[in-house]
Amino acid sequence: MQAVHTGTRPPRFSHRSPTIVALLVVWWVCCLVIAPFWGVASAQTTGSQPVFSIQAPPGLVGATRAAGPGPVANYFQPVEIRGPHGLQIAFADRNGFTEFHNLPVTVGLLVGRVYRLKVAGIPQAEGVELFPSLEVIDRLYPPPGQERHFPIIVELHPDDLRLATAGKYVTRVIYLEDPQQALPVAEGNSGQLWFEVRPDQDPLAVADALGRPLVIVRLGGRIPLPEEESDPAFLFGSPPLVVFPPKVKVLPGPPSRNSPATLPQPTPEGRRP
Amino acid sequence: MNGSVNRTDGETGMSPWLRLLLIAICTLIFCSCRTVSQDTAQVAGRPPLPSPDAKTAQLAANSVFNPVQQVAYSGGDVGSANSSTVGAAEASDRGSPLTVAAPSVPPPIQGPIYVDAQGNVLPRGTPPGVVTGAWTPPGIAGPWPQDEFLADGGDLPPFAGLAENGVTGINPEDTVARFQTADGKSRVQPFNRVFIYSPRFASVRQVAGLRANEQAEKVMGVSTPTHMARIEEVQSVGMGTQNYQARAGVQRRGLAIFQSGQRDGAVSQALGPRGFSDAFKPYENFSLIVKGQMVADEMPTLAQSVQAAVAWTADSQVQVVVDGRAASEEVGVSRVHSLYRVQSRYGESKLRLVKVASTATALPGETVDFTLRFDNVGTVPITDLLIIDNLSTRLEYVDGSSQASKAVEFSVQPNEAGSLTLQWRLTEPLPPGEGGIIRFQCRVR
Repeated sequence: MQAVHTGTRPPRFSHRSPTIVALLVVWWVCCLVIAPFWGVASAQTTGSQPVFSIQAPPGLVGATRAAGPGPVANYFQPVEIRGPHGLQIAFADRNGFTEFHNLPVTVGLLVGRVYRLKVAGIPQAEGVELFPSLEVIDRLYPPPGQERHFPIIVELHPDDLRLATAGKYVTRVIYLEDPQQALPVAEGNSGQLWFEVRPDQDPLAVADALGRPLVIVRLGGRIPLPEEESDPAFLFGSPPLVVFPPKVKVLPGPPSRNSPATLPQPTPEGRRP
Repeated sequence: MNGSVNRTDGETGMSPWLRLLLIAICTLIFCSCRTVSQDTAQVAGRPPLPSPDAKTAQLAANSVFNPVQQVAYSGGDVGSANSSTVGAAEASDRGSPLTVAAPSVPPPIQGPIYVDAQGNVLPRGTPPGVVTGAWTPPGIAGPWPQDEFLADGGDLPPFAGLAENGVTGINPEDTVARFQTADGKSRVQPFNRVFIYSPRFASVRQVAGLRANEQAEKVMGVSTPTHMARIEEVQSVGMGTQNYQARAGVQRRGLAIFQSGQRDGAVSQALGPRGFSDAFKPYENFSLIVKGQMVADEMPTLAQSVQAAVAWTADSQVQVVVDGRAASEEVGVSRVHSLYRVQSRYGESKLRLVKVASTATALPGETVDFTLRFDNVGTVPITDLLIIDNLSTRLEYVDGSSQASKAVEFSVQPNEAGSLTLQWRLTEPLPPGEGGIIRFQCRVR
């Protein structure tokens, strides 16, 4: 006996619709679960997209390393800041900046935090102040008791200061050389060895290929207004740091040629100043 | 009629397992869509789950200034603190996350922290001129990263092998000895590795201008309604062809024979028995180095001298291949020295090699003394002893610093690492029970 059809014709696969709906729901759930991991996995396997680049916001690379394995978090890594003669730096404080320190100065900085510096006494640019930032992204593991003797060396090059005062934005990544890939040349009097990369290259990736990146120095760019110097956002929250006493006594600079020659006046202790 | 009824049931009803499956899936969806708010997680004192997105977002939030995060460092007053160190524990206490900023909470710790000679934290406002003393970081446990150490000695792959008049497979940092046993066979044996903590830094600079972030936009296309109306041009013949008879073939060939001039690249120097000057240095004050006698009490100290990074000793096990026959290691003291014996019908050839360095840490520019001690602890003489030290990239040999207690021919050659390969060849056989010392200096680059 033929079935009696009413009004509309039923779908052709109507008896399979629950199964299809169930399968679609399962497929959708699977996609929902797998999707967040798909991009990460593909990026890690292909390597086409680095995990971090120098374009990341300040603090992201170091905070990630601080959250990683090993005794990295909350470690004050000694950093020695060097610069040309006469250069002075101040560190971010609660309401601005501290007093100026002569270079070289050794400080202990937290890994993963960003520190705002104030640089004055720039050669051939008297009166100009720069506000570089310094981010420690990894630490050293010296033998116990040798921590202060082997700080990370951060040099503020005169050329960098000159470019920054001219309006350029200088990014410098200090890395630990791999002994197997180290250049067979001595450091000499010119200071630290360094390379220049093109603007389209990532200095963090280049430094990672040559060794282990440790510090990112960002210099130049916008100079804040006077009222912005105490802005916590500009100071990156003024994270704590440890100032170490200088290992050598910093002597005053040579007298100016224009100033008249004066005899040294004896001090009450009977010593020359 | 039955078929219609069955089709109707299939449209509106489900089998029990399908219903259960849908219920389970819906339950799973609703449970998975429930998220924990950031505030709730922070109040509970725990960070959010380390899913990739959440972790990145949290790190990004921590990376920039966040008022809530500033309150997180409000654990104590620096002025009243009297801790001996400013280390991980104190910072960790300060770093406990808090989100409720009560009025009684002390202000956050910002800016520098000064310590006195005893390591105590000074009150804020203390002039930095009076700050003296050292700072002690938290304890560091190994293993230490190898990229902070300079290594010299041992035999890295590809391993050293015998050559016609020397040794092949000498890599940078390798230090090996080649000698001949009484039965006329040659052997190659490495020294132990010495590690010196000497990190060196370099930097990569990138300069960007203000125009670096500008984007140049271009038009999608240009419509040019004009076109050529007509082409009328008659070109004359620009090329003539004429047949010429070939007289000779001309072709380029590579060099079949070339001559190269061998310059005096090697510097030879003969040191007599009296060439070894100076008394023993402090770091050589071991019976094993001075007298060639093993003293059990000195083994721990000697181990520290030859292995600055003991954690890497396992990776620097000595290897030796003796004409396809592995030499047997003597005793379990290979951390300090290398000792191998080769049994033959003429007797037992045993050569003990020890290498020590004057310091375990060095800054670039400093000088490090190396001492090689070799002893024939076998029963037959050892002839044709050749000791090779291939310096690493960052070690620069100090000219004229080589000394030897035996008559040796000393030569230096540049290696592929940009440094030098040092070679000492004993001119006389080494009788049983005798040994010698080779000393040289390197400057850390």
